Amino acid sequence: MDETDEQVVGWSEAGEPAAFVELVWRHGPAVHAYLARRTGRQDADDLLGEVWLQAFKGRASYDRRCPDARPWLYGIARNVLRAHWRYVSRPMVHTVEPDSSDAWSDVDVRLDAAAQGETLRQVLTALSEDEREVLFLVVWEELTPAEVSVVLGIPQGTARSRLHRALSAFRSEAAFNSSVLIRLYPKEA
Amino acid sequence: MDTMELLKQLGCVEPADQEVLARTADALLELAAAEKRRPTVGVTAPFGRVVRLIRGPDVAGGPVSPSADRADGSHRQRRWVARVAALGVLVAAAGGAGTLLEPGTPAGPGSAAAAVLKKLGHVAAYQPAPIVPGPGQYLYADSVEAYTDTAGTSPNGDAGYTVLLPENRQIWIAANGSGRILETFGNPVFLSAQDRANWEAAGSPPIQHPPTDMSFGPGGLVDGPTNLSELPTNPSALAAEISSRKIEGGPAGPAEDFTQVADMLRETDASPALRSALYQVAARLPGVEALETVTDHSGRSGIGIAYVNKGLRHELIFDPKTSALLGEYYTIVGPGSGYDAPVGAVVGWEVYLQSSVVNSLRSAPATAPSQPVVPVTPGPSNSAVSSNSPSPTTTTLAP
Repeated sequence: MDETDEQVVGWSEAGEPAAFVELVWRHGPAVHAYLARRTGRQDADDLLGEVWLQAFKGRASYDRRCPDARPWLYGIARNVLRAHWRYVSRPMVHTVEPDSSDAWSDVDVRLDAAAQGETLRQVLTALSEDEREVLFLVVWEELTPAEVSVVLGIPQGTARSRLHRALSAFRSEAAFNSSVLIRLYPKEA
Repeated sequence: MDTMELLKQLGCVEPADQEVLARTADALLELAAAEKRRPTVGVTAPFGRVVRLIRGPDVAGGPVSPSADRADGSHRQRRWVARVAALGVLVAAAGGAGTLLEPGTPAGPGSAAAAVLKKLGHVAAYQPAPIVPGPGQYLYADSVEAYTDTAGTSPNGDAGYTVLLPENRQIWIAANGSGRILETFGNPVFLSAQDRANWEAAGSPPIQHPPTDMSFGPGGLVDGPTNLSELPTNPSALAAEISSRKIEGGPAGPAEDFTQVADMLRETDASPALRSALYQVAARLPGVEALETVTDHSGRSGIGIAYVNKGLRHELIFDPKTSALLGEYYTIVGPGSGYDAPVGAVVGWEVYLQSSVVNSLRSAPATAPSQPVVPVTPGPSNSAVSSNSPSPTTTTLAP
């Protein structure tokens, strides 16, 4: 009974819209985590419904060649987040400036406590927003560059080059241990 | 720790609450139902909205069909026997011809019913474990229900009559299966005008039931499979055990699967994990229908699931917030049900009101009904239906 996401979306378009709800059980936790990592748990709770509402309404836009719906859903979640941040006048991507109402402050506090916190802060600050976004999708959401390109709506090559630049910043950093990178992204390592 | 490992750890967040996911699923199910209604032109209303009450006395009933109960000449079935008979119709029918589906009703995985059941399964998984009575304690539950009661048929060919007999049921069950069932009966309701005519032709014998109060020794109240805690909670494994009839015997086929799933959801102490798996098993059964929002016989609204087999629709109504079983209906929807009553006639219903742990066989929660919820003909009269009864074939239960 393990139909692919593509099949489920197919049913939902072919007269059984309720079939779409299956994706909530499959990927709802992942989409919630995506939101929570970027805007905090409270806002993630509030925004999750909007993401799924947009996904349901826009399910015809799902590329049926993708067996896994997550990149498509993250792309929608990203747009919802951007609209949310515009609304609350927050930056689109984490800045390293502590912001009491932003999840980054929580991350930042934990960075302070961590042994390598300051090093990581410096590496991330040196990256562009675009590079950070690709990096987070690879490290946190465990996406491949091909999937990242779906989320961000950019060519695969662009996703790869951004990731390459981000990882180079880590590589040049002394405490970098490539074993983690190999696990995350064997080709690049 | 290196910086990449640190970055990865920063991405660790607490998982989403099941409630948040369930809320999202609810919203989508609602949207999906609305979308499904919109483009359909000329399609009949969902079956969940079918008239609930038995039709009025103008409906002509045919000759009363013989049944096993009548063939043995028994005149008055006890209510709980009649209940078994009502369920028996489903069981007996399951081995026969294919399932009778409503026209246009989707079935199987990917259907609206499957989506609803999967959602209930997810909700069930995070409900608190059922309360278990300790030593000297009892699990108390009360319900209101009605099942058919057939009488009057005799071997020499007298036409019988069938009534729907409403009742109040209170049950106390100790951990060892001993306990008590207290039942108070309401006014019998004839299934059809013909049933009433047959009753009158038989001399209008008394058919009102006096209250019953039964005690049971250890093991006496154990109903259905007793090894619930040993059943697999993986939906595939559970589905295999059910369909292979390892848990309970019975004929092959999805109709019986549905019956057994309902058996295990009803008045049992199944764990949240098992209940969750049961909903997911039901979601895979071909022929299960989604009924959207329906109301049980006491007026509580819930989410309805139904299975039609041989002209009889068995409907289960769940609380969407807790997945708890609120009530059930058995309704005639076509030929072959074995009942001699018109389409739309309800031949059984049940409403589960509350359950809790109490400290004695005589005690009930403060909210338990002190008076019967079902109406009872006033006075000591033993007559079945008072002569001034406005409409003998409609039920008028208090909400």
